[in-house]
Amino acid sequence: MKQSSVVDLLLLLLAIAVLATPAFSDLVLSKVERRIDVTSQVARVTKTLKVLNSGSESVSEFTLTFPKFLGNNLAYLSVVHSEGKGKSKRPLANLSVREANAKGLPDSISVYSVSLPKALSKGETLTLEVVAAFTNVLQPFPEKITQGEIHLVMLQESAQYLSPYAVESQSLSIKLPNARIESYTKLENTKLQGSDLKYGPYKNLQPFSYSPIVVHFESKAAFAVAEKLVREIEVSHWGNVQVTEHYNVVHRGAQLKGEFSRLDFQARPNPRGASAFRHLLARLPPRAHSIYYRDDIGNISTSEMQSDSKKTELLIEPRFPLFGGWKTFFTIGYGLPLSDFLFASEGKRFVNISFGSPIIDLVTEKLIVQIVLPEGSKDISVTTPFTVKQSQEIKYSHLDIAGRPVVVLEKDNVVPDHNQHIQVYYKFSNINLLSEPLMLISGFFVLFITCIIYTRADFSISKSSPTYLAKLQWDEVLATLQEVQSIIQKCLAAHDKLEASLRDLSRTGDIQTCKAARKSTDSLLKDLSKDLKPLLGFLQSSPSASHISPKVEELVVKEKELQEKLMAKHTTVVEGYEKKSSGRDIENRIASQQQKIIALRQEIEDLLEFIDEI
Amino acid sequence: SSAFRLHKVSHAKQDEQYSYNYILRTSKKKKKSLAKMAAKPIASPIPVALYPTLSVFTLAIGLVITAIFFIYEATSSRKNRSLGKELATSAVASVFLGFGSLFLLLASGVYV
Repeated sequence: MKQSSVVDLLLLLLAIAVLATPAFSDLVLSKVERRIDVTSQVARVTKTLKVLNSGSESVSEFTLTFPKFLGNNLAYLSVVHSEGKGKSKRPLANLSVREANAKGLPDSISVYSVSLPKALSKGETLTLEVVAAFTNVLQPFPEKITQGEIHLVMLQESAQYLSPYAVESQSLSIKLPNARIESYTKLENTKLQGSDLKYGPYKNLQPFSYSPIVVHFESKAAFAVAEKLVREIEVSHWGNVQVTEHYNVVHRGAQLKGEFSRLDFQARPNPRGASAFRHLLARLPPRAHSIYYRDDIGNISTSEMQSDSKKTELLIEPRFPLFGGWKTFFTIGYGLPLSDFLFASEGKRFVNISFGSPIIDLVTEKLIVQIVLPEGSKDISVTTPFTVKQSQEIKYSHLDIAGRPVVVLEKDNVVPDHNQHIQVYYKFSNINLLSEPLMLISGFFVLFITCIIYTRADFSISKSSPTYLAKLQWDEVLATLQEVQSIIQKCLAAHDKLEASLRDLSRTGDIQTCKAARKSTDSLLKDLSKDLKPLLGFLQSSPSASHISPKVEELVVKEKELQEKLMAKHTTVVEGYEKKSSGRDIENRIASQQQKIIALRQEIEDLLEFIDEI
Repeated sequence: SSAFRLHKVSHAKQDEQYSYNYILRTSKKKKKSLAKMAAKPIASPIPVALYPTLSVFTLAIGLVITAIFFIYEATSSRKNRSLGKELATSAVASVFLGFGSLFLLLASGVYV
């Protein structure tokens, strides 16, 4: 029975080899170097593959395979075609990778197909650099630990590179963190140098060769995982990009069993709690301002910020240290200057902003990025270096009429390698910016219109009551008084003109213009007194103005006196100039008149003030 | 004492170097491609540093004109009021007050 099962296995392997060979036998991997970095919670595998086309046909596609348990946890995969060796390595283009169907391959393998930049013809070689990041492959083992124990994790991999092509020479090097290494599978050619574990080199392997290895080691990395992260990026064309991030962070390492003792945690010199983490470091863009860190309770003050011209570093400390299985939630917000992130090209504008969380070393299980564009943006399209799920929404915010368009991008299993820039293109004309101040202006204008309507509208209930009629009469009296006032002001202005003409005369000696000025003022004053007569008549007749009309009459009389005196003075001065008498002579003659004029003027002004106050 | 202690996160430094090498690599490419497209940055139509000054001045002028409007309303009698003068004053006052309140909102951080 044993023999037949071994024979079955061999037959199965042969069948796979036979079935697989027509599709994959053309390429040969001449050299494979694999480096796995497990110093953080994400296992990063970098492979340098030298592909040689030993067949006769040119090949344009390359197949990458991973065992299923790794393929299910693959978060990030990028394949770069590079040239040169060692220090002169130049990365060329990012090649497009897509998941492919496992044609004729067993189900326990995930397959990815890479399209080569140009078809690889017979005998040519090509160097590919593959970077793959896996989450959840560092399994905590033991799964539950107490506070004082160290955090041990386990990595399962294959010492021989699982590939559908034959491999001539390969080596594997695992970079472990600088801590305790519990155990590792010992195969041939295994060396442990410091914290680097090297397997290989192995020569001339068949396709699909696989030898499992397990490494059990202590990890000092913070296993911080954000179960859900909502990033809202609000773009305002008035000069600011506001980013608000809501985090739900959980510690996905070994769970804490037993109790948490704060005393042990803070004991010196041997604190217990190596598996917990306290700080999270966020790298924000430079010139970030108005940074806040709060949660539902309020502001969290345990944070520090350091900024320079290249970045702004924010070190945040949640309200409690996070042990395995513990959760916390918080919100970080910051503002960024607009000109660093919004650009114009070919008639469209685009926002160039990073996609993932700024917290380094944070794995996000569900990432939702909402980019809120200003109202009036049209023709929205998004360019991302990797696949995301897109949708659009509307958000109603300050001073909005129709709402702002929101582009919602969702992605699962995001690792720090995804923290690249995405671009959102849209069309916007600056005229739409004016709609906001116009809304405010119209708001204020409506207030003023209300005031105007209120002062003009007649809200009295009864239109024939004595108080209403008395009010109407008083309004008329006031109107008449104002008109009288304006006429008196005009008369006073005419008097001032006369005085000015006298001064001109003393300066220039021109008698003719002086006389002409007097004539015109005379006619003006006559007109004004004519206008004044009906107003006076009305004031005398109306009963409610009975206490005012004597004052007004007095005012008019005084004004007439002043007029006459001024005219007399003017004539005297002009005559004096005609007779060419000396200045002192003239002054003596008009001295008394001048005094009276001044007194009268003062009285008129007092009366005007009195009328004003009514 | 100027730098905060990064002891706890120093173990992650190498890892972040690693990931950021790749990010640097791609972002350099993006920078080149951006320069090719001649993308020029867009800033706000009015320099942001001017917002507080502008808000103070426009609000002050707006309030002065509002005061003129209300004084006219209070001192003129019903017969002598001129609707044109009222509307003109209120229009100018509302323009200044509108812009002033917009700049006030922007200067206090509410980027509408």
